[in-house]
Amino acid sequence: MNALGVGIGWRPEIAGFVAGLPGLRFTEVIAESLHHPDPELLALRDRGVTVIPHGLKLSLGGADPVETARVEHLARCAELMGSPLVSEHIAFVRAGGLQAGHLLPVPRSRESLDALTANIRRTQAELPVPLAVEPIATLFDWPDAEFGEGDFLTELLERTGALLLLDVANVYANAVNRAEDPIEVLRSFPLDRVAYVHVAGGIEHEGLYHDTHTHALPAEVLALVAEVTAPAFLLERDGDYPSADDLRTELDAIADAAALPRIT
Amino acid sequence: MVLAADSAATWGIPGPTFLKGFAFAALVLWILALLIRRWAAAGRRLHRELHAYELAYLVGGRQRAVAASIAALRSGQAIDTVERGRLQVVAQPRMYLTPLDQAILYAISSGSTRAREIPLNPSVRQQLEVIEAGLVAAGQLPSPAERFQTRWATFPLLLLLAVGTARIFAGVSNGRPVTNLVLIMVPVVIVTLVLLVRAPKLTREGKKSMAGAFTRHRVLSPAMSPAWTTYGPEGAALGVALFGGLALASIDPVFAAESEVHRQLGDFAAGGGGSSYTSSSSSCSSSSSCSSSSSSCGGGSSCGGGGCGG
Repeated sequence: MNALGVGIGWRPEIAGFVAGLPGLRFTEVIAESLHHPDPELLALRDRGVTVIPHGLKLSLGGADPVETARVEHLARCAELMGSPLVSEHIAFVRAGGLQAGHLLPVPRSRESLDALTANIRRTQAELPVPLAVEPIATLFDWPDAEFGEGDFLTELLERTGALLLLDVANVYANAVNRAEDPIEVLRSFPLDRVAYVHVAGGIEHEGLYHDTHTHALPAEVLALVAEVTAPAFLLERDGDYPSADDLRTELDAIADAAALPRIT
Repeated sequence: MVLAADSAATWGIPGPTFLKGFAFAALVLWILALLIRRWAAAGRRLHRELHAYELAYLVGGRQRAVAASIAALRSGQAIDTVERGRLQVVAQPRMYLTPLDQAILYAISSGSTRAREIPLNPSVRQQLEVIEAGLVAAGQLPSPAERFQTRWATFPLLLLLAVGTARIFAGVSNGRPVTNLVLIMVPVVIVTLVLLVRAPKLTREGKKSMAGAFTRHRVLSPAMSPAWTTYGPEGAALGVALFGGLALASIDPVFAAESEVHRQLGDFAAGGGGSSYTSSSSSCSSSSSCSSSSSSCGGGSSCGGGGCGG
């Protein structure tokens, strides 16, 4: 992906704010919301802003093969928005006919690596553009992990050729909740395969860090931004939206930490 | 025989001749009235951006302008409710104050604490008149002279109806049938009434400006669940200007309910001329954000209760 600088996730609630950012060159949209694309988003696309569809419900980490209709939709999103790539999560959201309504972590085992590889390849075969996959934040790990998170990712990306959507807030959350050093964890990741980076706020509650996307960016997450070299950084904010000034301050802080131009 | 019949015709004009003449005159005068109105209410193209309160005025008159300012002042944390239906100034506003905002703050702190009293307060009324005059000057509202012209455009039709009515009475006393004349007068009466009742409130350019604003600011439609904190007092003012009580209920549901702004400021929630735009511009079908909670909110006038959007 070209160097697109700093962006913010497009949400209908802040569509006016996003459209008003003078230096905006890229944004991301929830793929599942693109069945009826909003005119504001299409206007951004027509303005030359790169729009990346971000899937939530493909369930790449599920034991079942990915649903063809969902993969086809992701492909249509990429075509509709003229996107250079699409992204999804390394997670499962359904199993045995039940919908979790949440991104659930996959066990870091050879078996699940095989299942993920198969699903990512199936998806890639249908997509007109590259796929970037995002490791999630999780409050628990499955027992008997055969890999560390970095090794698991490196192996997965080597097998599939997929790109990495690195979420530094997820790295931070997992490291804090596993009592590890975030910077060391980050360095174990295949950072040479980063397509773009997610940055988001969260909050610590009773010793656990929650990646809420509805709180301010902690300084520790910003510190991780400074550790990564990537073509693009995207602020994810999903609710409890602060004032426009506060959002601009966060975008500027990300730009400064990543040594990229400010977009506000 | 023919001569005898003619001499018996009311006013010496045979029925069929009068009917033809009447119908022709009605058609001509109706077209004339439409042309005069079109010319008088054309307005002038806008060469500047309208302020939120000006838009509010175009959409729903003085009440809507006051409601938009109340929304901005609430969003700027300057006012709150003391008790049901009563407002009070609680803090130094965190926003730029327009003269209307200042007048409304002054009105509230000097005793006009109910929303319905605010537009009647002299200093508020003065500012509303300034806004109205600005809109007239910008060709968005018809001037008094233009309003006079549109009203008098219907006058020739009224005269014609008077002639027809006189002919009916004369014909009845003359023992002549008047059924055809009555039948032909019915549509003329209807057309005249429609012209009288539907005097244009905005100029055509004013309507265009309003429609353009609904398109430009559709991100503030409650169907998008706007992040009001992000959009700030200016966004709140624009949101209520265009989308009325539904927007206020989504900006601050508790304040909207306790202040009774939507009830006290008359029909502002239904939004006068704006309601039709509300329903068409926030069309949920095209919006990805339209979940079950917002899809019922597109109808504008149906949302007066403020039940959705919270």
